[in-house]
Amino acid sequence: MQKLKKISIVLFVVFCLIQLLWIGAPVFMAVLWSLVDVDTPWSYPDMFPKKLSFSQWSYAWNHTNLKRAMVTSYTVATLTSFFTLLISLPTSYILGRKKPRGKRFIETVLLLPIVLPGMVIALFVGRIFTSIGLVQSMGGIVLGHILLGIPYMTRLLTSSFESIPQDVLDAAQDLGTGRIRMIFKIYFPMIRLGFIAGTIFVFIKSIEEFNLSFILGLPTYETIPTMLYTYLGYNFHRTYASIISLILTVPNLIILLLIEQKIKTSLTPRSAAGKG
Amino acid sequence: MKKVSRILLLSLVIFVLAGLPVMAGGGKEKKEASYDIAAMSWDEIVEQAKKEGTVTHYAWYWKEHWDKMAVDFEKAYGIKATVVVGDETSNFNKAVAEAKLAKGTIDVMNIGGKGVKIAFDENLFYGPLKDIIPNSKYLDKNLLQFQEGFVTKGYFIPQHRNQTGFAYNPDKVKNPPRTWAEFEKWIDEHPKQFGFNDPNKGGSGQSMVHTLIKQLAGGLEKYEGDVDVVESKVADWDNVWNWLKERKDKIVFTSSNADSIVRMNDGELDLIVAWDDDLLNKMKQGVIFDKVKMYIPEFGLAGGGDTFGIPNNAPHKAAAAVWINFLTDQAQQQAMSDGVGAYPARDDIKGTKTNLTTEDRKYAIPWFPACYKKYMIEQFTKQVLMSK
Amino acid sequence: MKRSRLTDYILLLPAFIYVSLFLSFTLFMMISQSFGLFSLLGETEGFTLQYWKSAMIQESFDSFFYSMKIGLVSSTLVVVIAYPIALILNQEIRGARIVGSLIKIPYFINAMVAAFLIINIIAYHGFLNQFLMFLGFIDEPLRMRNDDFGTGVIVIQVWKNIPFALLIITASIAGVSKDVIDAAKDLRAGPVRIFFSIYLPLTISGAVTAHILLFIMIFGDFAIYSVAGPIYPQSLTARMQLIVSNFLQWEEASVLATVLIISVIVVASTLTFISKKYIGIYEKVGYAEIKKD
Repeated sequence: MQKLKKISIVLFVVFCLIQLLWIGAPVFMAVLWSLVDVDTPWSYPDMFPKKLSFSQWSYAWNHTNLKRAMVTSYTVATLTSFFTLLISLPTSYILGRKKPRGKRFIETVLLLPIVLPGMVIALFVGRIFTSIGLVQSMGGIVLGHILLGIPYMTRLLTSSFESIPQDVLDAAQDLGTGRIRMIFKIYFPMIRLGFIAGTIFVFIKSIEEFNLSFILGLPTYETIPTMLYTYLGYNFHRTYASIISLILTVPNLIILLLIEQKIKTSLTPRSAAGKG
Repeated sequence: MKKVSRILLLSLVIFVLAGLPVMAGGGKEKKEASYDIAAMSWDEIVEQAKKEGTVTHYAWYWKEHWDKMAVDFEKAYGIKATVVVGDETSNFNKAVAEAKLAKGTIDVMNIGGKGVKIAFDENLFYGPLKDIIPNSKYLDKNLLQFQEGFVTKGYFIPQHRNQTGFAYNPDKVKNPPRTWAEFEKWIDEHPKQFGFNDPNKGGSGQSMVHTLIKQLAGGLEKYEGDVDVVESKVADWDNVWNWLKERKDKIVFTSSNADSIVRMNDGELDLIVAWDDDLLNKMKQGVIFDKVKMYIPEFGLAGGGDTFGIPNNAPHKAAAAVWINFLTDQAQQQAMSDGVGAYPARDDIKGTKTNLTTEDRKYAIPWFPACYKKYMIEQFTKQVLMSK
Repeated sequence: MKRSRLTDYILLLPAFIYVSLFLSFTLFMMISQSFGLFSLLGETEGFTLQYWKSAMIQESFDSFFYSMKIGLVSSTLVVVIAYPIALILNQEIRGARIVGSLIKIPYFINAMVAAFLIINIIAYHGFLNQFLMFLGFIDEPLRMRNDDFGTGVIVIQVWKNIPFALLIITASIAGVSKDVIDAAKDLRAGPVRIFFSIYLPLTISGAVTAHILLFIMIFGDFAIYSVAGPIYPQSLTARMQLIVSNFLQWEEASVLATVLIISVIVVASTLTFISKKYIGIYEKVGYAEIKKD
């Protein structure tokens, strides 16, 4: 037994080191590339850039589409998470509390948008939207992103609703609690975690979404990922790509690591119920 | 429980109501304007343009340059120019999608190598502009008539000229190959150090294959004036494909014009095919070392340029014409040359700082007709990329 | 009572209708256009098989096999790598939670960013080559970008998707009851035996689920291919997108999309079928062995 423990500790340490290299090296390289000075390119065979500066950051900020793309991305994401929440709330409430017939089937359908290949959905949604004049509009992108947000949102909200213990509701009802009071005093506090987690998750998924924004938005609306696509594709530019990657990724990572524990809690019904 | 349901239903209604304006945003109609700039004098066009007061231009590069131009333009004419820096393919897809509408949303578009064919296939553009834009008499005559092997008949107004050439790393390549024999020998002696991009993904690779066809399949004269591929004339293109197949493990195919340049900076390639304007731009952006040198080999490489066009359903045609004319003024062309370093479309610009000398430019060759170019790209995929 | 049932169903609708309308329209358009029907823009010429014929060229087959290969190889690799990691993380060691969070990072990184990050590592002038040269293993950098086999793409897919597999597999491993393990230990079952007799049979369905989902995601990949894929062939979705954006041939793209969806269904059900048979055997063997002890 002791031996097994030792082996796993060694394995664990080795694993941690690999992990550090596995995640750390790529991120480190991106940071390094984003700091390459505009006048002294990082060329072969220099092991490290000769000069580091924020010159490319300020150029990218002032003279590329970055600002416009960020405004579009964040506006779309805000609208998307708001509307996804509105659409998902009633459905999740019924799925979580009423256990309707065909629950499994409905839940499977609700998961489909993230299972089907994104580019296929994007191309044909684009085709339909073109025929009804919804391409090249913010509304079109938002409608598309809602589709991809629903699976996450309904999933998280449904399990939050499920986690509300029936006896609490019964007790409240026995005490003659009014309906509106019920919503604000019982339902809302109980699903709060799922509510927050779902909104943040959808928000981040919307910011990261590429296929639909690419097909529905470009060239009129550029989001951060579609901009990245340009700098990784025909306009390959390592420094700009690094800058945009960092802008796209770092805020999301921080938020997600902060709320990660909470998402987990709200995903497992029993533990949440125990707390309640 | 009923109340919960009711409140949720209410929120649903709110959602629908809130969603309506968002969706409606996509379908705003512009005011109808019925006039034909071809029938108007330039003064009338300028007057009309000032009435319109706005112009929307779709490009896919040079954001900094456009921002400056727009400020100057508004000072000079009081017209607000909005330049959307999108993506070449998406710009054209947008134009195609809008073509059936009476009024589009694009007033001016940049047209590069990819777009010319779609422009003609889909009959997207208004013209000819040649006689409407006063500055066109100062612009490159050739580019006014031909773009990328297409006979454009003055529909498109030249913005800047560009040229493909060999770029090399002078630290590693002391004597770059200039003649055909030197070139073949160089590739043999330096395997995997010469590269050009897949012609499906960028013009510099197309130019290289085009040159190979010229060199290995009997010159370019025989294709002149053809509108369709003539089978007998392309029979000896097999020489080209065989030449490439024999050297498949000595030549690197990259994934874009920019990728070739990045790989040279990485030290992976020492001799590449590149656009002169692209290379200069990348030098300024700190993508590649400044010591890079460029030239056109004696067996020639093709060049061209980018142009402006006005879509048939442009909502502000007069403003579009004034904007195009403004951008081809001497001062603006000079600013473009100084700023982004592009080789101007006018000949009266001083101190152009491109990577190619006038001496080099005498080896520039024209493209063969566009039908052959399309066929060339297809065949390259089939004969070279697909053969394992 | 009846009225409230009705309200329930109405309330159930919003998200369900949204998703099902969107998807059914999309899939309907896709399939019908591949037969030349219901072209929303341009003319509809009536039922025809011509697009199926014209789309079935060597390029399409090459793309199909490329995507299939990358999909199967990467998803298998991910599961094979993630499984032992999940076992390690399941041990109660201090710090496992922090590492657990760290390891999840790639899941929250956009696919294109992931591709770019790895490209910087494997580029000619990248970290890996520099490191290997520094150690003296190679004299000249290796060319690993846009390689013909798609190794670069596989590395990126593995990097990006391990956390996703971990999420699913960890959950199924955590579901193995401690009592069963303790009972086995009391019967003096060694760690190897515990793994094969208890962990594996009880968690393999989680691993298969991860495998199937990963395959679907990787098979339909566009972003990673377009950043790091070989010059030729293209991934199936990249080819579709190209056909549409450069040649405006919607009908051919619809054919490829239909093929893609059908393949996803076929592979997913094959994997499920195989695993069901396999799990059945394992469960029997596992319990029999414990009983024997």
